[in-house]
Amino acid sequence: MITIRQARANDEIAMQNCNLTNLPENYHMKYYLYHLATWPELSFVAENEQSRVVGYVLAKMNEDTAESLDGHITSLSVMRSYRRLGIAERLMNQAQRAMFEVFGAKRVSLHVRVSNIAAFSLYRNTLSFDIDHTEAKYYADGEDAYSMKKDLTTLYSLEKENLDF
Amino acid sequence: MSLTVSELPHKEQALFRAALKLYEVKQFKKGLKTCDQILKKFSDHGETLAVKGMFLAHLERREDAYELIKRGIEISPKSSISWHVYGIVCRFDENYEEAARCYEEALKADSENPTILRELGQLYTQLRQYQKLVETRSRIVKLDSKTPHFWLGLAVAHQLTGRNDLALKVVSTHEYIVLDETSPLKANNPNYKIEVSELLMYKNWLMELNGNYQLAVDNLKEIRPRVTDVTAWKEQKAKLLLKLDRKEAAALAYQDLIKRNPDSNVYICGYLSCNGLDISRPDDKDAVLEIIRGLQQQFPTSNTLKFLPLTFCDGDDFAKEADKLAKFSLRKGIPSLFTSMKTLYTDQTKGEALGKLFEGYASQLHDTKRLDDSTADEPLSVSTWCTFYLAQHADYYGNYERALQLMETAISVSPDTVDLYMVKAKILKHAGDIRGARDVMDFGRQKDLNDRFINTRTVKYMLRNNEVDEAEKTIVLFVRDDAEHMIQEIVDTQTTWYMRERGHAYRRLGDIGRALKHFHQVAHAFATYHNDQYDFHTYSMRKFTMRAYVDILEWEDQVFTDPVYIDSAAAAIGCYVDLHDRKAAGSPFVPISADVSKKPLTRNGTAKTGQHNLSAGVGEAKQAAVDVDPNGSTFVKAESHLENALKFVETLEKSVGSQPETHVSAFEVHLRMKKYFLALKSINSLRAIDDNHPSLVPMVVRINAALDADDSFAAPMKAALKGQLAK
Repeated sequence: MITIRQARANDEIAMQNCNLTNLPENYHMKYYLYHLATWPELSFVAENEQSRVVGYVLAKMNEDTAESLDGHITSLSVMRSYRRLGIAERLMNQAQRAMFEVFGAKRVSLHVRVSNIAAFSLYRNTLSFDIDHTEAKYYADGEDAYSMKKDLTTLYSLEKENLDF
Repeated sequence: MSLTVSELPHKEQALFRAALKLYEVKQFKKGLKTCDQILKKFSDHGETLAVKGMFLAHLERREDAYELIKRGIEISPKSSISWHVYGIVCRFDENYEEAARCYEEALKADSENPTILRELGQLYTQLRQYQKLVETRSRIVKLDSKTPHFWLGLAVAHQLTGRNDLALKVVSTHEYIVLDETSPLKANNPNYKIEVSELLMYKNWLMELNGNYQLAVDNLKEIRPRVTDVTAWKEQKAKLLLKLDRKEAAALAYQDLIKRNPDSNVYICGYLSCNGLDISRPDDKDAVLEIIRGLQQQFPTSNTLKFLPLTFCDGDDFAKEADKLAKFSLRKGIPSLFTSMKTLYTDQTKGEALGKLFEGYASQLHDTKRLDDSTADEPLSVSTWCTFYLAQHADYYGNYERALQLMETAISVSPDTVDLYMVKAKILKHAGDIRGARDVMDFGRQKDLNDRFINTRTVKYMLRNNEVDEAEKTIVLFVRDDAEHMIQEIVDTQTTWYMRERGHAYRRLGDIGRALKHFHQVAHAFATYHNDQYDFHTYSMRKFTMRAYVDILEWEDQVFTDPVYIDSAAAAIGCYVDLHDRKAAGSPFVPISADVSKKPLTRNGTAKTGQHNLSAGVGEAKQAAVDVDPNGSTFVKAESHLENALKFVETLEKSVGSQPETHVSAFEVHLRMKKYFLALKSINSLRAIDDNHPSLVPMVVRINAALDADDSFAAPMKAALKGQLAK
């Protein structure tokens, strides 16, 4: 059904479209390009059988040098008509592992609206994120956000590669 | 005066240097004052005039800026600084071709200026003049061979000219600067490990591009300890081994990849190739299915593996796999089941088989509340999702009445499931009931006001129903509360789908002015997308993300092939042609005046006073502009509609010359502009794509008629053209 793969430049219009369709927090195209040109390994898309992008995760490493070993989820969204396929979970797993492997991330963080029960449940229950703190009025419409974090070091390890080939 | 800066007295020299520093820190007003101090004593100093012009350009005094700069250059035509400044301002205006010419002049007087060379490199890249890029970056590296992003830039330049071998040579020669354990680049650089990894993977990629597969494989083993992009490394390994026909080793590599992502079509098909199998070859079907079934057991949660067999199996195998997937999906309650299956319906037997399958479930569930493998009664939702599938199935075959009946059944059981309303609306749309579709979609929207997805769908359906105002009121429910102007925010966030739909709605309503405005907004968004790449021409090498950068360039080369752009451009051309024709017929289109009582929307829906329109923009540097042209009259009143249409025509001809519609549109404009040879070219281009295209005959008839009617067109040329047409 749905295939999961790393985001490429020619996915960006579709990612932006998915974001504008589903979420009120939107970004200029240049911001998507900035992600791809800085952390190309971290963003992923879900593609349907007609090669349309139906979900994406836009991810980065935290640029604040104090927390530069934190990965961060800028934006994650799946088209409503593609629920119940575990797409969000799959996108997050790929992004998280890439953060750990490529950038040595020890943790990953994200923000979620305190009222967004579905998303909060995904992060807390399915993906095992914990609430780190609440950020008051984080969103442009004044709503608070939970800043959630997850430890990656217990999930992944650097494997020993078989170089005998 | 043509004194160079160094010939000025010390005080003025210092002021000049200070002015340049002020430019770097973007203190434009102060910089302007500093220039004026110099000019007080030396009112005709060429270079100062030019630099002052540069400051003016950044303070929105564009015309004065160019005037001063040009004067400065007239006075000191050999001054590198003056030409450099001119180049900067042209670049700022996105006039890259002119900018490049200025920079080339600047270089003549200062051939080793690294800043000029670097910025010229950016310009050449933007202009896709890759050979000149190579020359420029070669000069940079000659001046400084140690700084990585210089030689990396040169390597990329070689790669862009197709010389992967030279790119590889540059990297191999200079890589020690980064890779040496004692490299000074290591110190205080938290990104060192990543940079090493990216460099190594880039080099390996160049080896592959250069066809040195064995070399690349050996290299892969060597570099693994220092590579952090594990996925890319493993993908390279699998790809290279397959290219070397080392099928067993490649198969293991693909298995490794599938383990990391069992939902990758690419990995699965790669694995099949290693077994000498091709999913599209009918003879391979059984063998492929066996492998897929094995993988399904290993990775039972993979969605991709569940669906893949349906794409190549037929007969009993198809029925079996379809049954597996269908039951799983119905029980899980997956709304997109039909959307996925729909891709199979191009094969009529599959469509029919699926219909039968679900009809079977429906009657079984109706009679026994179970399916043939149920251990207990199925929950009601299974039956509902089954009905939901059958409704979409009926819709696919145009049985709208039955489809809607089935939807009613589903809705009556599950009236709060928003997906049901979305699909019911879609069915009504297919059946031609645009109003009904919009009503149902809006009804669904009100079941979940927190969801933007259904809001977006509803807005689209409203626009399809030409309800422009209603759509606007609905979309702003999800526009940021702190947006100064809600509607402008929609434009600023590049919501191209909305601008395009709104443009079409206005066109249907006969408001060509507003329609054009919106199509231009779409075009502007795409022009911005294309321009966005500019900073990455240097940024990417600093970040060592060469692989991603080349990918970005390739995308940008294709950005105007996007369907939303093409559609909007074609519509704009149509609008301009329409405006031209009406003017020519003596009844020009009059812009439809704005509804005076309708004022810009705020979050609460209360109107802001009209005064706001006038005061916006004053005092704030680059604030989002208020809608200064609400009814598109600037487009309507433009001098030459056809000239404006031509710009779109040229972009389409360049980007999607392979599509017939491009030449159909182009013809309309070329013919009206009496550019008969270009019109002929459009006909020939169309003929080359599809010599049975229905537009061809009318196009030939019309161009002949136009030639006959055109007395001003020279007879010998007419004859030549007609001769061409006769072929």
